[in-house]
This record gives sequence, C-alpha cells and structure tokens, in this order.
Amino acid sequence: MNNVIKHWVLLGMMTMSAGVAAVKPKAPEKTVISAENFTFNPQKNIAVYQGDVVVIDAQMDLLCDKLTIHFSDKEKAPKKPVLPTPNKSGVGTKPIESGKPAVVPMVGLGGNIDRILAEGDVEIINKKDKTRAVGGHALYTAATEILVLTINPKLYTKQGVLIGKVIEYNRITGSLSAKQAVLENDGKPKPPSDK
Amino acid sequence: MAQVIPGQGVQKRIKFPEYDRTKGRITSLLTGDQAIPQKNGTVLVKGARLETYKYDGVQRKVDLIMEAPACLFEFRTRVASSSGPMRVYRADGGAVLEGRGFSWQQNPSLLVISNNVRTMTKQGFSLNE
Repeated sequence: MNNVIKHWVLLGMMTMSAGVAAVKPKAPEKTVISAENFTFNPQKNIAVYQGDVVVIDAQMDLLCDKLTIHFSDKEKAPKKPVLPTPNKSGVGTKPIESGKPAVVPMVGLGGNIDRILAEGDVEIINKKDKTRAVGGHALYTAATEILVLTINPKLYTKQGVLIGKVIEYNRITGSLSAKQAVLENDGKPKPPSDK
Repeated sequence: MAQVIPGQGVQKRIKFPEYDRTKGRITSLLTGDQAIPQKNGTVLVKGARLETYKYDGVQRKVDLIMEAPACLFEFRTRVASSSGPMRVYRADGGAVLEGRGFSWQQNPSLLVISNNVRTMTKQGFSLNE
C-alpha cells in the first residue's frame, strides 16, 4: 500500500515538475548604464559613474552628470517594501506583512542597493506614463522606495508642469508629492526644456 | 603556471596572486598567457585575466572577473592597468562592464575604468550580495 502511495506521489511530482518546465520563464529585463568613466570601491561599497551618464531601465530612463550607487552590506541590507493593500474604507493603504517586493529595485541593479544619488542636470523619464522630471539632485532610497528630487525640480505631465521645492515619488504607491508646489497648466506657456 | 620574477625573460602562463597578509588568504589573482618584462620594472601581461575573491566563512568564491587583451602590472604598487579595451563581469553573470582603459589597485581595492563605460546588469556589484 505504501508503495502505491509513493508511486502516486512520485507521479504527481513528476507531472508538476513537467508542468513547471513547460512554462517558459520570462527573460529578465536588463539595465544598461553608459558613462564616460567609472570607479568602483569594493571596500566602501560605492560605484560612481561620471560624465554623460545614461541609464536605460525597463521602468525609466535617467540622465545625469554623476551617478553614485551605494550598496548595502548583506547583514545590514534593508527589507524591501511590499505591495500595499487598500484598507476597508478604501482610504489609505497598509503594507502586507509578508510577500514579494512591490516593485523591481530601481534601475534594476538588484536587491542590494542602499541608495542612488544622481547629480547635475538630472532628468528622469517614466516610460509608462511618459512623464518627465528634471532637477539638480535626485536621491533614491531603496528601503523606502522613495525618490526625492531637489534643486529646482520640475515635473512635466500631460496636465502641466509641477514646480516645487521638493518633488517626491513613491515607487510603491506611485504617488507624487510636492512641497511648496505650483502647477502650471497647458493654458500657460511651457518653460523651455532643460535638456 | 609559472610565477614571474622581474628580470626574467618572457614567461608563459603566469600568475600573480595577491594576499591579505593579516588573514593569510588570497584576495585576487592575475593570470596571463604571456608576461614580458619591461624596462621600467613593469610586466606586460598578454591575455590578462584578474579574479577577485570573496569569502563566506572559509569558503572562497570568485566575485569579479576582469579580462583584457593586455595590461601592465607593476610589482611595487601591485597595480594592473591598461589603455586598451577591457571587460569586467560578475562570476554569477549578474552584470557585465565594458570600457576602454582601466586601473586595478589591490590595496585599497579600487577599479577605475577611464573611457566609454557601458554596464549591462541584472544584479549589483556588491561583494556582499
């Protein structure tokens, strides 16, 4: 009897594994970073790209003069935020206790990024909604998945141009917030492109 | 493989290991198809390949691999450099870097790629992944 059960269990496992093998895994999306020069310090866990830096990512393109990537130690690596779910009232969100990270880590560099600092003529183009953000300084923090754009930040959307002191983009919720913001709609002349 | 001593003639299949003297373990290894001593005390390494290592306890793992058709290795400073094309990739295949002109300094570890850098990555470059 035990042998019969073992046989069926084995057969079931084989069928399952065959089914899994039949599903083609989606090819991972690559990120390409090009720059004039590059410095990597393994001891400090810092990589610096300088000179006409262009990041081509599945989610967004990023252009700047200097890009500094701070990697985190394995032991100190922050937990990735997870997908939020709406609460009963439908207002606000609460994070799931466990699960997969909500978004692919920014610029696809892997889960061990601590923060990314972009400096000098920063331009971020969201491929999904074609919005474009510019500023002098952008800081992305992996632990919070928040991108903070400062130094004359501007966000160009279909609705108009959002100008603020600080523009924050939450990659989990997709929400944008601006401090001391002014929205210039289409009725007004658009400011010239910074690039 | 032969270990090149400055002043010797052309050597084939050479290796220049680098050690962490405090822990007594290898941290990187430069190998080459051929080593040609130069007048200024450097060695021209043809078919160069440099591996850096990370440790998980006592287990040694290859982390980064650098390849160049040729590079100069200076014994005094333990710096490998080249003005030609080069390629760096992670042993796990997570990322590939290409460029022209590089310098690898062992202690403190520092990799500089001077021109036309292009990175294709699925993973980061952290040693602590």
